[in-house]
Amino acid sequence: MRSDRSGGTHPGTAGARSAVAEPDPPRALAERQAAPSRVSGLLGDGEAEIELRGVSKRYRSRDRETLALTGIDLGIRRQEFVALVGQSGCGKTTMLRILAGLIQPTTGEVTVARRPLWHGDRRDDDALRKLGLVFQDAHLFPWYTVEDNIGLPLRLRDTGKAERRRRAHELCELVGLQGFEKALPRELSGGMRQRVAIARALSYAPEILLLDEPFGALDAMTRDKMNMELQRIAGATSATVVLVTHSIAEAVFLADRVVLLSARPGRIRSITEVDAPHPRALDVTAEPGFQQKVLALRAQLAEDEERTGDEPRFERAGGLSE
Amino acid sequence: MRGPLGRFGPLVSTVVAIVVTVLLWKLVIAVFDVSPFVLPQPEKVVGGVGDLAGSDGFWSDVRVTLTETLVGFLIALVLGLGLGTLLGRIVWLEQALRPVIVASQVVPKVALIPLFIIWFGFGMTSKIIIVALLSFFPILLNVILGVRSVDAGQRDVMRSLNATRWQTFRRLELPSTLPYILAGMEVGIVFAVVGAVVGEYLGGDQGLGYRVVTSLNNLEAETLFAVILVLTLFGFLLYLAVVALKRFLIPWHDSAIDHTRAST
Repeated sequence: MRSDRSGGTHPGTAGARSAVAEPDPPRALAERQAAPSRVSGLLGDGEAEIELRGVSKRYRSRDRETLALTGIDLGIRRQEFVALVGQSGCGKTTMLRILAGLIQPTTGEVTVARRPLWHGDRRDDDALRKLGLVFQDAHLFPWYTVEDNIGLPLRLRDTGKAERRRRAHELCELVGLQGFEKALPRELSGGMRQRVAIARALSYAPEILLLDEPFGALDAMTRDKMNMELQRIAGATSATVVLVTHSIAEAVFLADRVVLLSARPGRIRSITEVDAPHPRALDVTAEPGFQQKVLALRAQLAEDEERTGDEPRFERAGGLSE
Repeated sequence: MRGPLGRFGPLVSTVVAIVVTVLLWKLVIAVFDVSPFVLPQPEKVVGGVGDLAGSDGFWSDVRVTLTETLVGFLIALVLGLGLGTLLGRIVWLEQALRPVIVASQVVPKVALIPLFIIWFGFGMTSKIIIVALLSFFPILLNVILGVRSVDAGQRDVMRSLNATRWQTFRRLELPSTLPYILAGMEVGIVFAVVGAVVGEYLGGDQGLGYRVVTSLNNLEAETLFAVILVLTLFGFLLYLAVVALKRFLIPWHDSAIDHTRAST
């Protein structure tokens, strides 16, 4: 399934491949001063499994306002792997938390499987059930064994003990933790804890897996290994995956589409399609096409950092227009 | 890390400490020729404990002190849990009440004991109130800290799973706060024993603290030492009960792990 869709002939995006907001050469200098124009990532009718439409998020504190995200339009297909990248403070984590229903957007609408995520101030339980979330830290509950941590989402939904056990065992096998069912989190390494967190997110078989820099706290070797594992798990569960990362190489390696956000205000700067079929081996990273994409994205990121570099982060005073 | 004594380390050190104390004790008596009215021989004290246990009304005194300690401690626990949860959750209320809390903490509460005796009489009531007051603050402060310490990331996990308020309390807030509650109880139970005994000897007519006063008045050093020994054992057993509760309720927590036996 996963490799089928890499043909790159989706009607909604065929012409929009690598839809970078390219400024005309004479205007390049002026463009550098202003925020880059925004890119719409909306798909054709009924094509999107998850959709953000006109989403913005404004944080208010006593004396200032921060526009974390503005004008976000993005559709994500069923079983697609999308990576969100951008400099720190660009709003990629905010965007993922909005997708997860942890933050309510200031404007705009989020739909999951065509169901709105929010009804007023209440969240749609059916939509939430389709989402599994993994954070940068595993956030396991130290009083529960691996098995009970994995089974927690099921327990909250009143699943019986025997079924929870069975499912935990199955997931331990999937994430490579067989034999550790009875271990306590304190007995595990960082990588193993993150595996438990992934298993927990998968426990009620969500259709969508949202990951917020899941391996950011791990060392480089473990990180590479976990990325391969993530690819395998995504394939095995045929889940739609949205991954937030600050590593462009990681994003290009794993994703079908890489969404680059620019900072202050956070908006979609470009969307890059990566065609290589899944599963991808590590030697993909040596191919010229791969490296070209990584370099192009790095250049965009550097430009964005230069544009915003001398402004104090998170401290833009109020009065930003959307 | 396991030392050369293995898991018997604490046991060995306890025995050594007792033997050294007894030897020093005897040495002091022999060298300075101390009168038995000031410092009786250790074996006489042990004999004194036996006499004490067989004496009239000893067990009823133990019961009185135990009742005062436990009832006062339970009142402190209930109030500390209730008020601590409230103040832990409502930050502005805690900030508004902070001067009052600090003030009531720095007041030497033992100095208030005569006041309580005037107000509530020489019976158990005044002692229970003293015990409750003394053990209340360590519990309160720990509960406030515990309620505040619930990890924001773990809260996000519960929120992303659309957990109800009750589920969040039962599966996250309660287990996160338990180590703090138990730490408060550990300090609180020691204060509770102090409160009961001091209350009894400042204005009591029964209980182990009262025995301290009567043996002092009769210049019975042997009995006095025996009562002190019994009180030590009394406090120690209550403390052990809290530690046992900790091992039972939060075996996963660092503070409940027997490090002499841990493999890592």
